[in-house]
Amino acid sequence: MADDREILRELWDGRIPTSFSLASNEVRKHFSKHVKVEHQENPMWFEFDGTPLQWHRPLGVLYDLAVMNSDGEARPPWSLVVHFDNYPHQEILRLDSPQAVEMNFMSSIKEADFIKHAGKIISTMQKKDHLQLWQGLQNDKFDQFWAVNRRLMERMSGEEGFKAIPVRIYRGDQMILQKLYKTIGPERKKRTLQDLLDEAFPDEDNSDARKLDEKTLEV
Amino acid sequence: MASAEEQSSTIDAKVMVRLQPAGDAPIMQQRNYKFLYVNQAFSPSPDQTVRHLYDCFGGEGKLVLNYAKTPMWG
Repeated sequence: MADDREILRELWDGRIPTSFSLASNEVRKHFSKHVKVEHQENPMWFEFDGTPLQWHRPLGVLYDLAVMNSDGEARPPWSLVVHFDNYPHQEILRLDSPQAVEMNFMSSIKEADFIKHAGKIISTMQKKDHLQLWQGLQNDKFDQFWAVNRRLMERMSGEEGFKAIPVRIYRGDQMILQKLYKTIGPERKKRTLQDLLDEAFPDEDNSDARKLDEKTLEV
Repeated sequence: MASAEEQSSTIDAKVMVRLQPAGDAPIMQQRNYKFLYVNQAFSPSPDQTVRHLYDCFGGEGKLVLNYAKTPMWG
């Protein structure tokens, strides 16, 4: 995984053209410096098509789900509404401080390492490595991020591969599906994405690639 | 295809959630703690379900969660 540099770069460079507009009932000027003084300390949140966006989910996943749920209307640019008022606490996670985003990101990294390497890589990293990961991502510094992340994405010496693959499957409004998916199957055969889908959805025909559109994978 | 909720209700299995204090958190008397961890390692996403956490990080009918008053594991 960590060796496919060109693919990693392509993924990193992926962008979603997005246009932002301020909710019509809030001050229509230019975002934070200009919103009403009493709202300036409020956390910002985004809405698409009447639904608040889950800030802790990967952006690409949110976009794919939005396209899926709106019959293809979410063609680029993706039009999001920006809000500073009436934070939808019932629908999305609280966002009490900017650190909440960083903590959420680091928790995902740790959880994934627990699945891949029983947490053995992340536990050998220092605070500065964690910071480098986060800042690399935040500042769009591919090399800075991957200098640390490659350690998390390599197999450990003596291991055939990851213990299991961290994967979440999103299906529209349904609950996220997360299980342990081993990389090696019976008779030591390397398992494929098809194997994973068959295990996750045993009652469905998963051989039709178009059906994949209905499920969004985050790996 | 049954939803995950329906699936889990049809599986006749209970997961024992074992809550262990971390740091100076007292043994549970109050119910609200600020920080929750799985296997002394990471905080699960707040919208994660116990079933998925058990599937990935539990075993032998048990799932160990740690609670704390301050951040403990990074």
